[in-house]
Amino acid sequence: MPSKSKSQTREPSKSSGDNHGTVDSEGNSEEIHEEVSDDSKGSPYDEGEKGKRKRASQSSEGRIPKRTRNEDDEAVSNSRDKQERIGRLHKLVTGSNSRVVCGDSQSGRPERKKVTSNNRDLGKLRRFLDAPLEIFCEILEHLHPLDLLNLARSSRTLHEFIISRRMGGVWQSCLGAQGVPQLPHDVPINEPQLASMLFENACQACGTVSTIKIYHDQLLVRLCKSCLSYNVESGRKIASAYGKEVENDSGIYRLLPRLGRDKYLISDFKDVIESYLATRPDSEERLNFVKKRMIMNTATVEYNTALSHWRSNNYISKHVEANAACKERKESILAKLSELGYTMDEIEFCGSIGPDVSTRLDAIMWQPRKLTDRIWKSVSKELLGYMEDARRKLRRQNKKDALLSAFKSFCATYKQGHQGSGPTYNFGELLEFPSVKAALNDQSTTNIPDTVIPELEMKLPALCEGRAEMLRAECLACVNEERANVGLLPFDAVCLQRDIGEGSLSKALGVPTTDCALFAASTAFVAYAWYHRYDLDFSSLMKLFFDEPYPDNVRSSAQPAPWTPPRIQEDFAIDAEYILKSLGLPLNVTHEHMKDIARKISCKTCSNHPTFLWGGFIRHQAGHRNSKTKADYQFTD
Amino acid sequence: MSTTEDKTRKVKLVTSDNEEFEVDWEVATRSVLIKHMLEDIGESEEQAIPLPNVTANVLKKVLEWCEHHRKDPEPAPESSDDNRKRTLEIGDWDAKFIQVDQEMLFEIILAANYLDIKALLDVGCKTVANMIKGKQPEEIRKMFNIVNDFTPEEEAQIKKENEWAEDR
Repeated sequence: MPSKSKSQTREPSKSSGDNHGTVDSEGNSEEIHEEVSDDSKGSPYDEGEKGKRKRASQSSEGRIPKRTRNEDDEAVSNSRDKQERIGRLHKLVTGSNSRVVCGDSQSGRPERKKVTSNNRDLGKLRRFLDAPLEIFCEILEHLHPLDLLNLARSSRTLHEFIISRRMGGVWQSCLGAQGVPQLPHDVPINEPQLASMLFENACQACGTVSTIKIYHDQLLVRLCKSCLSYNVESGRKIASAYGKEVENDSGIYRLLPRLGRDKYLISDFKDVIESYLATRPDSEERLNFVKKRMIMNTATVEYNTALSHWRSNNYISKHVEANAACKERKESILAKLSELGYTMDEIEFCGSIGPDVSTRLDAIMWQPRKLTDRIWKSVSKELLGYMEDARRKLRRQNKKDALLSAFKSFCATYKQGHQGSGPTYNFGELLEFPSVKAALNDQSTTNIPDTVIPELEMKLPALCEGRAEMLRAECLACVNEERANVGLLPFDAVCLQRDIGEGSLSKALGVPTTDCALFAASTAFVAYAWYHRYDLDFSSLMKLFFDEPYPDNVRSSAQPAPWTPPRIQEDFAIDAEYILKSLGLPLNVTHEHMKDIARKISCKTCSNHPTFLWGGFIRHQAGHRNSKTKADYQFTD
Repeated sequence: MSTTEDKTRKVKLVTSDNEEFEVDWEVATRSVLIKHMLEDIGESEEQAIPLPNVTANVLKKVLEWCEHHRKDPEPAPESSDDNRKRTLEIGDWDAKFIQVDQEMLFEIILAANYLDIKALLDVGCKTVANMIKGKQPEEIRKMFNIVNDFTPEEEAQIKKENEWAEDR
């Protein structure tokens, strides 16, 4: 066993002295026990609270006592000696709402984190147990307090060695490295207890692992919400168990820190009361006890303030650090993307593709973990997929922007030459142009080829000229054909009837009629645009396709749907003519007029005489027709 | 304070297995021990410095580190050394350098301690601390190859108490 010592020995820690003992491979430390008793001299914990800390045996049969508050109340009469043997944290109770984490309730063995069973690390640090003590201490000083606690819990000897007063310097160093304010002499806990309270994440009463966000460091214990409510109580209530005299003794309430206005840790308060009562009133012993407790109380309260500052500074610095780390990772990813040839426009556009992509990008980029080659390898496939998609879409958008600009300019010129009427042609149709389509689908180019826009400028005027008339003729032909298909009279014949019979009536009533089937009350077209079905009269149909020839912003809205050959709504024609006949109106009355007077019509057959819009009446009549019930319509007053 | 003359000077080091190394003064004096010894022997260039606690293969590795860090500033005095322990981060070169087997890592730490090269000792200790970092007691036992001699009850108990050994 090498135990080299250098010529200029450094002190491993403040309190480790010049000890050169070693810890052997079975975790047994030689020479360590020899010095234990010497170091225990002059400890601040030896005074006053000494008896509380020293236990006669290894803590009451080694079990974690689980008591309810009622049982605890009964225990008030227990002798002081018995209580002194129980460790401070063992006196904490768990309530019915506390979670119990004992994996094996019979043995009381706490559930442990599952450790992977691979033997990769087996004996990896075995040699270091043979290291000279100063080196071993040097290593320990680099550990996080939590790691130091875990190391101490790995074997009996390491526990004896690490949780010992002479390792106080190592503990202070480890805690100091985390910025924890130095533990004052008068605060009645030691550094390992402080480390456990500050860094472990389990409740010190029930052991449940939970994120405790409300701290109560002045109680020198960390409890979950449920255990806290079971372990703190109003001071008066605790004191009342010892009689009226004790309850009314205001002095006892200043002997230990409280939570809020008058809540105390029950077990600590009981200990203090019992120690207080063990001294004779007005004796020097009592005065000394009170004095020591007051000093301890002040130190604890002040230390609690220091810990609060430490926690808040810690939180802020962690937040700042995490933000900086996230920023660094994002910048590293952006640099990688830039190296791969993606422009900032493409990267920004990628974030605006949609909420799903944006969320995923944030999840990949905004993380505190440093971008390593391994991480890049795992995220790049997904990220580059989004980037490629973004690049494709951005190129298409840019090309569309150029086309839109050219089309807007064409529309403005067209309006000037046609008394303010725009072309019966929209941007959606322009995109169907073969050369435009080809240019948009070409992923290799970033711009519209130079030939496309001049070609459009040449062809568009010719395409728009006479297109309104052409579409009107197309629709008219459709109406006539569909009327014949459903067995209705040709519209010309309907117009003739006006002059023979009802026509005179219409004249008398001043009902507007039409000779064109497109504007008749019985004509409605089915149109599909913007992903919806519309039932429209001819004027509305034209408006739908051509009133907005281009969207205001091609980036955020879709282009208008291209014109599609119309289809007449056959049932609409049948039901409309039935209602018109029922009302005694000519069959060539205008759609516009029926829309105006629809609210003055009611169905005589239906008891509640409903009133509808013209389209609503048609649907109402469709219901009667489907149920084969005869309906009569009338004008209401 | 080193002079220009010092920087061109060569220093002879003899290891425990009697191998001799001739290195630059600047490299050798990364070790406080050697530096003090050189100060003691004065100008005598021929006199080799014996290093009875370091073997040739370990010294070779240590000198590799000293060579890389020859231009590093002098380490701060012990009292203002707090920040040294605040982080477990190791520079890229050092991290690569210290990727050695357990035996060599152990020997480098011993040698750094003996030769009083604080920065190298730090690198070694941080490497070991990093290995322990975040490990549960069971994993630590595996690393140190030690047996769990606690009963389950004791294990639960020590987790709760953390009282000084002297007070138990």
